[in-house]
Amino acid sequence: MRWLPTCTALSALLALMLTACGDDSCYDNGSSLPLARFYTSGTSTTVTVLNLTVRGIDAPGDSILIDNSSVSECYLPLRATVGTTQYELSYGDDEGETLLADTITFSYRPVPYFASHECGAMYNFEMSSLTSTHHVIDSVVLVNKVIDNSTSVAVRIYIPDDSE
Amino acid sequence: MKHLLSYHTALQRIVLIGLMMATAIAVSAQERRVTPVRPETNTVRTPDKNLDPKYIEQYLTGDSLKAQAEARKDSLRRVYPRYPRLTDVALGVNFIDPLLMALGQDYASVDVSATLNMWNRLQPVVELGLGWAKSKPDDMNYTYRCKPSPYFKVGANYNFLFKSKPQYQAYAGLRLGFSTFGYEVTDVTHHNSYWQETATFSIDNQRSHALWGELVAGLKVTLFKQVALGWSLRYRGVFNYKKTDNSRPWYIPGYGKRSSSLGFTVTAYYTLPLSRHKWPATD
Repeated sequence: MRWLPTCTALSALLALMLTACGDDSCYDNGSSLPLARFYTSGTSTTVTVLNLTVRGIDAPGDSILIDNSSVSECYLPLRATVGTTQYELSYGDDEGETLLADTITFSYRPVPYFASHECGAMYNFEMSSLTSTHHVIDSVVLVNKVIDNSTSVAVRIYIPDDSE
Repeated sequence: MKHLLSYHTALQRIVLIGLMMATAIAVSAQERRVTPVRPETNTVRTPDKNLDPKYIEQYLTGDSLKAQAEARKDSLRRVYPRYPRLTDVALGVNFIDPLLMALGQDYASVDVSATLNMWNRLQPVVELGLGWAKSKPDDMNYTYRCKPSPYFKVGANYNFLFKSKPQYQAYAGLRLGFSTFGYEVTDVTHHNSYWQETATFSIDNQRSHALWGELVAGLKVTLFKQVALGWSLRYRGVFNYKKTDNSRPWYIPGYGKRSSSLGFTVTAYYTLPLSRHKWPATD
């Protein structure tokens, strides 16, 4: 049994090193951001919208989230200090002229939430409604009632096939 | 006359036979040799390495049958030592977490345990402890606190070195753990860079409980008389825990980080014998 004390000490050191190893990465978002993706109304396939500009209504400095770009999805950050956030989606031509615009309105209740040690604390949003105008947009659909920090699609925006 | 001749012939025959026998004896005596003892046919039986000297003495004094029987019983006792059903109780303190917390770990669990050693083989275990946590990661926006909260574990070990003395143990075992605890997440700063808004909040008075299981493998070595030191590596899994509307617990007392499945303990033991018999049993 003379080997046992030495074996004990060495294996304890190895075990301590094993338990010290850990993955401290956050694989979700650090904030609750609704990811909106565009789909065609008829076939429900993902579609890219050309010359799209997205801005928050009442955003400081009238800052633009997406500036005349071709996108198939975008994050639409919600305000935590109020219960409503609105975004304007403008559809332009190649020269940058706005042809049509829609407004999407989120109504919700911000809920403080501790997601994990790695991702931190944030606000989740319990959605009460999601509406839009219909100049180009056919309909908007919430995938989940609560918007959290997951990276999956939270809002599906349907547009008619002939508007691509 | 004829009778005398016959007597003379008989006497000659007797003398002749006697001479022949004497010659044969003399010849055979000349041819007798001592057969040498060859080493390979002369097995020298040495006593077993651990044989009690009193049995060797019995061999030497000539009572070999009794000595053989006693030696066999002694050998069996050494191979299958018989420990009492209630061999001993080991009281332990798991102290590694406070040391690791001093080195920077964000949480700690301290527990006392009682291990009943039955037949030096099966060992029911009860562990009672307190766990707490305080974490404020440098690059994060919150402080997580778990107040000292109790936890309870019950299970058993199987000592693979049951043939050896109880002073040396290598074991595997199972545990079922439960804890009920409270925690809070404070000093949260949430900044929205697009809307240029900063909000601060706290998530207070969170209550939770958790049930989990552990697979245990460990070693235990007696250092001095009844004082022993041991460590164990534990593979853990949460069966069930309570979430709230505002959070999921990061730390579970007695378990560690909820997202981690490996644990490590270092425990100091004090052993209390429960039997007056000297081990292993000698009868």
